[in-house]
Amino acid sequence: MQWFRNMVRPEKNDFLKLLIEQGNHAILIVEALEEYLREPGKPTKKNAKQVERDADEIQRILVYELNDTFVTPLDREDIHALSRALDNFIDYVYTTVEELQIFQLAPTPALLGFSELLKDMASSMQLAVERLQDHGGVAVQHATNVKKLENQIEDLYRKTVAELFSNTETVPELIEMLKMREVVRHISNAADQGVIFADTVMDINIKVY
Amino acid sequence: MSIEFIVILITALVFDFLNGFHDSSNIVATPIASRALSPRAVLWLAAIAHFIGPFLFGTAVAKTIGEEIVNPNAITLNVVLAAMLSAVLWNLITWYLGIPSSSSHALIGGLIGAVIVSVGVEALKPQGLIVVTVALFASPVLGLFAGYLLMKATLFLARGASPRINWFFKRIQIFSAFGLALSHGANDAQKTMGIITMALVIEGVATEFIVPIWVTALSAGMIAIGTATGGWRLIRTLGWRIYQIRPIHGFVSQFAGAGVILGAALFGGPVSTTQVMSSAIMGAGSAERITKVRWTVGREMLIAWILTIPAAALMAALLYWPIQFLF
Repeated sequence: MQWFRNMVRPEKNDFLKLLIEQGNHAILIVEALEEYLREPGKPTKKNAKQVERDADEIQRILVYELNDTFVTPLDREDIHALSRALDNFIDYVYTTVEELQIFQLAPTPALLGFSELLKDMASSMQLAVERLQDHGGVAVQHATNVKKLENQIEDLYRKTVAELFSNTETVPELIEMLKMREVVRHISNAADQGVIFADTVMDINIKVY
Repeated sequence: MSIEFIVILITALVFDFLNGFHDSSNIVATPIASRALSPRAVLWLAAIAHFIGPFLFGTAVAKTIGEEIVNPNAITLNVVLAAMLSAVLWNLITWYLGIPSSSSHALIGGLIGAVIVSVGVEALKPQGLIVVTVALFASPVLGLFAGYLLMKATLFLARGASPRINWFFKRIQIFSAFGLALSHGANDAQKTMGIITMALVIEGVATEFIVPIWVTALSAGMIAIGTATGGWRLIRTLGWRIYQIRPIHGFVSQFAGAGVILGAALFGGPVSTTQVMSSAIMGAGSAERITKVRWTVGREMLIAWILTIPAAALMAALLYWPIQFLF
């Protein structure tokens, strides 16, 4: 009878709302990163750990709903792919903030550059999921922007790593270099998730429109 | 018994085998592709239904073919042999290409070609030809619409459901496949039974047109064996090449197809099981998303369907002379 009740008055399955919520959290986590880089000593207003936990919870709910719903607004595997990419993005940015704190790394111009690019990427992803339902074409424009930003992040990543390798002479410098390399590697991983996200948006667009 | 009778008996049984092999793929493709049952189980189920069917009911197809398309007096053993050989060839060609096409249409085409060569155009019955032609063009349209509408309705009704509903969509296909196979077996084995019995009458072995039990058993057996063999090229086309069939598509296309076939039977209009089932699959897919269906596959099928009758007629006409020469 559960089925009958749902048929007559279905619960609204808000997959797109949940995805937008995940997009909002992607922006929040990048803001936490930015805030930390601005003033490393101060405890950040946006608690990165809390943002990451909330985002995880949203994804758990989304997956649960997906497993409980037969008719979905988009192909179920596409919804899952978008959600997973956003979640991984958030996880990698969170890892970056954590590592900066644990390694006690001072902000560098490169790191500020990364955070600027990541912020643009997060807001493009958030806009893409917001437009997905009604304006697929606009969503694709945002996805294209995500891909452009990923190229810029990878360029900056290579430049940064090259600099790290060439400016290392003493052992303490080597240790600092390894720390920094670890952090930028995770930033690059976050950007890769952005590409996966953008590809999925384009797949959906090809299928639906 | 003459040599020609034995040749006809063998050809009829080969045609019967191919009929099961070829046309039952429409019925078994969706339960197989949506994993309602294992392929082996589905094929066994369909084979059993095809074996039972001929004993139960059905004369419609045989009657249409034997009386309504051409003047019954024009049907000689040579004509029947040419028609069946061309139908066998056409079925083999379409099987090789992986395109589901109607065995009944192939036989009708063969009959038309052979009769034109042996007696002349005047032996054709225009009314019967019109009925067949209308059915030829109506079947795909009806299947497409029925599949489309039932899919829309099902999606609407299932909007509050959890994916556990797939269990229902899978299980119900066991019954629908059995029912469809039963009706298909009943109608299609009739053709073979009719042909063999007619040959018996012409040979003077039987004095009147009553199908002996051994003929029914033989026809039912051959169509069942053909079904159990499984026309995998065709099953792949229907289950995977149009689009990946999932349980809901299987459920929708089986019930939409059965609805059209039953409805047509009630109103006396013959439709092709093959065409209805294949187009119902396309209809179900396009209701979900029009681009889900690979329409190039649909176009291939449509071309084959339109070509079936002329091509079979041409082959039968060409086969008629060597047959005339031999017997």
